[in-house]
Amino acid sequence: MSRLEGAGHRAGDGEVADGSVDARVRVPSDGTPDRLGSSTERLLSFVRQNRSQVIPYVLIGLLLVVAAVRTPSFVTPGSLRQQLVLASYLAIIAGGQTLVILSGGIDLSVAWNLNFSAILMTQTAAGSHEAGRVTWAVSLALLAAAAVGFVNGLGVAYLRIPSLVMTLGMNAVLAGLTLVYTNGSPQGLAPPFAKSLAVGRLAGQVPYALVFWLAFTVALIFLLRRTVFGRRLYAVGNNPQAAYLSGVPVRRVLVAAYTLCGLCAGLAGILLTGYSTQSYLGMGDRYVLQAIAAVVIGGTSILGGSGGYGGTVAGAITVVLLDNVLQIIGIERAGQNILYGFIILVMLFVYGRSARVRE
Amino acid sequence: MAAVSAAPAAHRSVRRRPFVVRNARPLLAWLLLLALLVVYHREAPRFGPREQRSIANSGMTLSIAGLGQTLVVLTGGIDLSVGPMVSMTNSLASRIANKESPNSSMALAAAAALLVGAACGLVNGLLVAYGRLQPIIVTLATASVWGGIALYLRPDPGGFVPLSFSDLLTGMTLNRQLPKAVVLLGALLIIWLVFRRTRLATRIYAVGSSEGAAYMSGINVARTKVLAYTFAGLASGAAGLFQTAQTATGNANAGNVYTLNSIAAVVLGGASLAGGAGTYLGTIAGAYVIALIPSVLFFFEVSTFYQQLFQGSILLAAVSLGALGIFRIRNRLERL
Amino acid sequence: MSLLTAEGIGKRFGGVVALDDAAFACEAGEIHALLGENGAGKSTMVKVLCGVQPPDTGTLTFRGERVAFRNPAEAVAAGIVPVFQELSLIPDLSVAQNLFMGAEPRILGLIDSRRMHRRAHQLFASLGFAGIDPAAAVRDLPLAERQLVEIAKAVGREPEVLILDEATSALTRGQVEQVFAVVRRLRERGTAVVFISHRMDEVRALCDRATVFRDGRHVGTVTVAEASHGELVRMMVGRPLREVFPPRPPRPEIEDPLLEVRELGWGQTLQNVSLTLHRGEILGLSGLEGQGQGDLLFALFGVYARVSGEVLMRGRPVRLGSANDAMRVGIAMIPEDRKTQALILPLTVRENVTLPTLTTMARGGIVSGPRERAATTRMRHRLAIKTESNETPVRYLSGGNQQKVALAKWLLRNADVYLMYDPTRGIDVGAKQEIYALMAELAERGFGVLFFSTDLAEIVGLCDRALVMYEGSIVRELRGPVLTEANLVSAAVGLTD
Repeated sequence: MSRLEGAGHRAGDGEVADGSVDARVRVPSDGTPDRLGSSTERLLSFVRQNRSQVIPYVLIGLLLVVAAVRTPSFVTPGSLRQQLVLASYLAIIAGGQTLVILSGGIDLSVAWNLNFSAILMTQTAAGSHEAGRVTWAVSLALLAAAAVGFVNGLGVAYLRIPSLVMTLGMNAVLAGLTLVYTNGSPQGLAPPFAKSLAVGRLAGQVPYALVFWLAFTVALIFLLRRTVFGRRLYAVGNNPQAAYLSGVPVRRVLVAAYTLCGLCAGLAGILLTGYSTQSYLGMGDRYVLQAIAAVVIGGTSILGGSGGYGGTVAGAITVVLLDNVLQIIGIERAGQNILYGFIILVMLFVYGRSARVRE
Repeated sequence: MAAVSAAPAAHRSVRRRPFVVRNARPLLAWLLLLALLVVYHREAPRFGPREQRSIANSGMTLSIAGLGQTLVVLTGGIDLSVGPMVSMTNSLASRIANKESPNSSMALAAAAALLVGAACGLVNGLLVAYGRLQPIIVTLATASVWGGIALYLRPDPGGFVPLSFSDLLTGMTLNRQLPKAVVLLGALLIIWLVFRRTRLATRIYAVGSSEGAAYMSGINVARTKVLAYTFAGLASGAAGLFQTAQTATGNANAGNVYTLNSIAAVVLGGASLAGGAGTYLGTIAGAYVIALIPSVLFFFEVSTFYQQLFQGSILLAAVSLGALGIFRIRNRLERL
Repeated sequence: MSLLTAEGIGKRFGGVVALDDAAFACEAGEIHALLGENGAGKSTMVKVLCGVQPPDTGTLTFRGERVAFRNPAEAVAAGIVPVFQELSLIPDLSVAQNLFMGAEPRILGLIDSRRMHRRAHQLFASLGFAGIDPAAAVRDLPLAERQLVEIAKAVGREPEVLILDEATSALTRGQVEQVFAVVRRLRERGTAVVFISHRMDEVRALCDRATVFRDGRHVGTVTVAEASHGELVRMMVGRPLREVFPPRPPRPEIEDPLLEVRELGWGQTLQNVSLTLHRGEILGLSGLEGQGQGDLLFALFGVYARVSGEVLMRGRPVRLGSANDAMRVGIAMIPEDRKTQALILPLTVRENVTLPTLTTMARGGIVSGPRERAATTRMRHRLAIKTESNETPVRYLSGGNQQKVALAKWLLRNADVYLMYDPTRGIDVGAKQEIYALMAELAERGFGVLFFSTDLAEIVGLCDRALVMYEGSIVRELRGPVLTEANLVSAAVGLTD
């Protein structure tokens, strides 16, 4: 941020004179929120203050209504369960992306990181049912994915390479590495456990994928809210200088965020392999933009430091529903892409923008 | 009388840095390109006009798209929608051109591609400058929109492109001795050298170097950014046209590689991603380095699968090299 | 009829009043000094005059007409050209490009570099600034030459009003003389020059009249030649509102060094700084703002790399490789910029207060909620932080309460040495009193406080001993009876009695 203040300028201590700084929560100077009379007003005020939580759910509701009108069979428990399973994969990728975006960066390497780890697993396991071999394959895949994130983190935190360029370059490297590794045609099918994770159900009702997602969600929210790392991540994303001056090891926090993002991509790679029973080239491509859309729709600020995984979960469901509803009403890939772009832009305007350069 | 007086600093006047020092990184890119050309020349079975044409054409689309990316990076921004803009204008041109009236329809297609490219760039610029949104996320979102429009225009690869158009841009001239792409390259260089001497160019460098100081110097920062993004769109449209001529077909996905590759070309060419420093002359070298790698790998019988691996690695090596200056910063807060 | 008149100017930044019904007027053909302590409102007035800050109230009259500039470009077009201490030069462009920004000589619409360079040479020659290459990048120039370029850029616009805001701060004596010669020539041509400098001897040597500001108001305008030094200082420091300071802690009987600094240096910014902070002492750092005080505190908090010299804590040399290192040996810091460095505004009171102590409140990386809440609540009561709850974002607290949150962070850590940069800047009187009391209490308990203040009364009221800094070095130590506001001002502006 550029500072135009003079060094000897006491008044510069004051708030930047800009009406757009924060219109989200109106709190009068004494710190007590407005007392609101009617319950409608109270509801409106709640919506205004928590719009990042409210908006995605409103969107989900709207989408379900549209789907129900067009194709009633879409809104059956079985179909919705299927939607949720699809959302779970996206949400796990978006979980990692949430961490990186909270830190103030972006990770565009998830596409091929996911793909590479998926292929690493299937080729290493080579269709084997032997537990030891499969465990080794899965560990190797996750380790590779985390290592990729770790390298991203090193570049961003220690060399100050813009995260966009670092991860875009990494994505190309991984795409090339995958091609070289597979010679253009990946081998091997998903190990049975991965398949059962995708199609199996707990007590014949709840898909294991959803159980796994639930555990993942609880763990990630716990990580963000209750651990030293999570708290430091918000501090770094909001204001790395103030965080540093409070003793936060800023660069290590960044490296950890990218490493975890890589790990999430690897996890999603394994799960997706189970879902499609094999790994293939390009399986991660569509998830980059969708994951970022899920994070943005979920109200996490692209500038870092505010938001959370709760919103991303809703964002991921929204994106998956949108995908399917668009298909139901006959809008193909082209229209979907256009809509994604629009939705991200609209959300950016809804959730607030950066302050005007000081005039 | 004053109790303390500043010790007169021993100073000698600062001269302009020598050319080689000022342009170390673009020169490095040119050296790399030269090395690749030498290898190509040695390994290629033939190095006649045909081969020269193929080399000149191979890096042309990227060179044109790289001009746009250079302008945006100079303002301190980035344009992730360059690739999809190339795809979209390529799709559009292949959609408008038709067999019935090849020449007039192609002329119309070319005009439309340039216009639409500039319009897309304008939208990017307005969102970034007046919407006060981050260039990364804005152009990521518009990239999705442009890509969608491209798919809508051309769901499947194909379409008709008149041969005369391909020949116009990618053929030979001067008695079949000189590739037309070389002439185009010369035109691009002249455009850059002329543009470099306009007030707009100075303003673009100023905004990227220090937005605050530019504002204090009376520069309209927002308008400068809008113009830079608009020109980037125009350049992407032109790149889409060259792509159309070169491939003689329309494809809604073929242009997408130019996002990454244009950023790589700019970085290889030595421009600072923080803005304010760099030259298109470097980007051209970067573009041809990226374009030549596959051919050179081919001569060494390296699988084409290595292509992306090399391109990505070169990009990362270039940015890492450029980032080493961070260890000279003495205020740790500025290293964060 | 004055050339440029400002009347009834008011300007607030959030809760802070920068200018309050302030007035200023200057005539054609005079050099007019603008004087005042740090924060008196000089810089804000200058920014109002040249269109950087639109005033909240009041009017500007220029050449007999009402004007309202929306941005600096409009003011420059009208003939009011400022030169700021913080530079408006573009680092990556050449000297000539900067000099003629927006007014480049052109042929056929293209910039004529040759003519531009020739004109740059001519401009430098006419000003007597030798040895600056118009083709050199501004980034490569030393600070002094950059200031000369900035001045040349302004003079080249042929201004009717030239404003020099600390524009000579980095220049050598010889360069200052050159600038003075230029300014005097402009005066002869009928230009009005507004001159702001912290060097009193420069004001005396150059200016015809002087206007003094204090607390955002116009105090008086005098003819420089007729005003005594004492008179000017009195106008600058006299204050309507006296704070009440707690009784100074008795000087410790045994001087027990807590923090020792030996020959500290950092680039050109800090030179040969040595000091000792004892247990139970509040040691004042004074001098004009920007003389290296903030840099000294940053260097002691491990923020600066490649610092020369030695730092000892409790007699043992310490390595300060990061802020964490400094925290580990018991140093705490309240940095200058509360809103961007001391606090993370969108986070809650609890999240801010416990940030430096998170690891001690956590087991296995998991933060204990009850311990955290208890610690926050304890600090809230101890410092009487006025907030609705622990969960209020600190953004919504008043300046005074924000500063208490910043202090609470370090009290929780039980630091031994407290480095504070102007801790009471821009906060209300009540909160100031509480912070003074807290500082006294810290000293009483045997900790050490090293603090810089722009408010001289604070230094005199709270400290037994104060160090005055000037251009990166400690130039005076005042203690006991000679520690007075007048002596601090004299030492700060480079004068001795």
